[in-house]
Order: sequence, then structure tokens, then C-alpha cells
Amino acid sequence: MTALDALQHTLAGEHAAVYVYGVLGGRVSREDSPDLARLIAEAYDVHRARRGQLQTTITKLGGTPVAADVAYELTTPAETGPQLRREALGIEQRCATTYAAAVASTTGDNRRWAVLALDDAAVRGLGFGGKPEPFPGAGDLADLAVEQTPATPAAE
Amino acid sequence: MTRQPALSRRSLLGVLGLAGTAALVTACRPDATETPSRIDPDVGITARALARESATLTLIDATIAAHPKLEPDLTTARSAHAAHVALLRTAQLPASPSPSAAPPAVAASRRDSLQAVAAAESALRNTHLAAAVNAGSGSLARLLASMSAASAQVSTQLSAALGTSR
Repeated sequence: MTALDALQHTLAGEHAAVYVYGVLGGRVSREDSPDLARLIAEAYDVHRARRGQLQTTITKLGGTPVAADVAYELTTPAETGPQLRREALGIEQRCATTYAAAVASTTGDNRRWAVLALDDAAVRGLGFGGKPEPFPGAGDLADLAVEQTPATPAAE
Repeated sequence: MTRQPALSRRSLLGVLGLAGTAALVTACRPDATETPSRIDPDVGITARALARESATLTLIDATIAAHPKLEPDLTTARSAHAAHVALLRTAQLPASPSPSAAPPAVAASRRDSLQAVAAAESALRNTHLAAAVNAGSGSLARLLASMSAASAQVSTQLSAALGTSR
């Protein structure tokens, strides 16, 4: 994948993230779930900023930034607190996958951007109930590590 | 070094995008005649990542051995680093740290020991992050970035545990 393709793919993910966080922000109750409301508002701002950064970068590289779809499907009814969290966690995990792919396809400043975005998405997901994983954004490596794991040496 | 079949090594080389199998083989041979400049810098980056992952795993094991009550807090971190080490080891890189090195010191207090692991994770996150930016191979960069993110998660989780109780 070229750097431009990878960044376009990442931008498409940001369009979806901004849309879904917009929906979640409209549904979360600030009175009943102030912490969740704050996390969703922060995530919305972060992804909106990334969307703008990617549009600038892609334009600089001579590309035409991909446009957003009209709407995006949610994976849960997104009504209860746990559903809102699951939806948000899903966005972070999907974005983490695109950031990791962008790391592989870019160099220099663009790669640094993707590395930091992956780091942030992995940590942000914890706030929505995610658990630490061995390979955030790159679950395929986990499969490989399992297939090839020799018995872990016992502690001396 | 002899436990992994050659197939594993080839798969990892593919994963890491280390096209230079010759470079790796050369680096492994004590009688190598290749000049260092011919060795892929990614080999060194991978070897250093393995050394740091192994050191972190050793620290976690020593911490659990000294404070068995901390095991539930450290299980996730331990399995992440074990997976990292297992994957990196399949590259059969030279210059792995001596396994007979003295075990790391563990603080007498549980809280201090947990703090030490959190600090080690935070440092590991930063070294992997810098290495990911510098790696020549995109696949190796992705692996390093993902391992950095894993340490970021663990560090965040441990800091939260330290902040709430104990």
C-alpha cells in the first residue's frame, strides 16, 4: 500500500469515528454518566482534529482527501451506557487497525503521527472498557506469536 | 536458539519485512566477513527490542516471585511481553542478553514494586515508539508501534491501580 492510500484509508476511518462519536455524544446523559460524556466529547475532538490533519497531509501529498459517507452504521443500538462504551471501544479498535497499517506504509513525520495515534487509541480504548492486549491494532501478530510460541521458560 | 524450527524464522522475517536473511545469517556468524554497514540496521533494532522486552519480562517475573499477591495485577502485562518475546525470538537474532544475568532488584513494598513495573513499561513504550519511527521496514515499524501501544496500555492500567488503592 502506498503512503497516500494508507492515509486515505485512515481518513475514511476518521470520518466514521467523527460521525459515530457525534451520535454517541447526542445520546449520552451528562447528568447520569458525566465521566462517559466527558470521554466521548474528548474522543470526538481528538478524531475531528485527526481528520483535519489527515486532510492537510493528503492534500500536501497531491491527493484529494476522501469524503465522508452520508451515514455510518452503528454496531449496537447505542442506547444504554454499556452499549455506548462498546460502540466507542469498537471505533478505537478499528481506528487502531488503520493507524497500525499507516505505520507500516509511511515514513518520517507521517509515520510518527500514525505511531502516536495508535498509542493514543490503545489507551483511549481502556477508558471505554477495553483490556490491554499484546498487539493493539495488529491482532494478526498475536496469532503468529501463539503459533510460534515455544514453552515460556520457567522463572529461575 | 535451537528450539525454533527454521520455518518460524522465515515467517518472522516475512512479518518484519527483514528481506535481508543474508544479513541475519551473517550477523549470527562469528566468522562473518561482512562489514557492519552491510548488516541491515533493522537487525540491531529488533535485537534491542528483544533485549528490552526480555528484561521487562524478567522484572515482572521477579516482582511476582517477590510479591505473589501482585500476580493478578501483572498477569496481563506478563502475557503481553511473553508474546512479544516469543515472536521476536523466532528471528534468532544474535547478541541476546545473557540469561544468567543477576535478577533485577525488587522493592520490599508491593506498591513500590508495582510502581517500578509501571515505570519500566512507560520507558519501554518510549523506546519502542522511537524505534518504530526509525525502523527501515514498515512491517517491523508496525510491530514496534503495536508493542509500544501494549506497554502504554499496561502502564496506564498499573498507574490507575496505583492511584485507586493499595
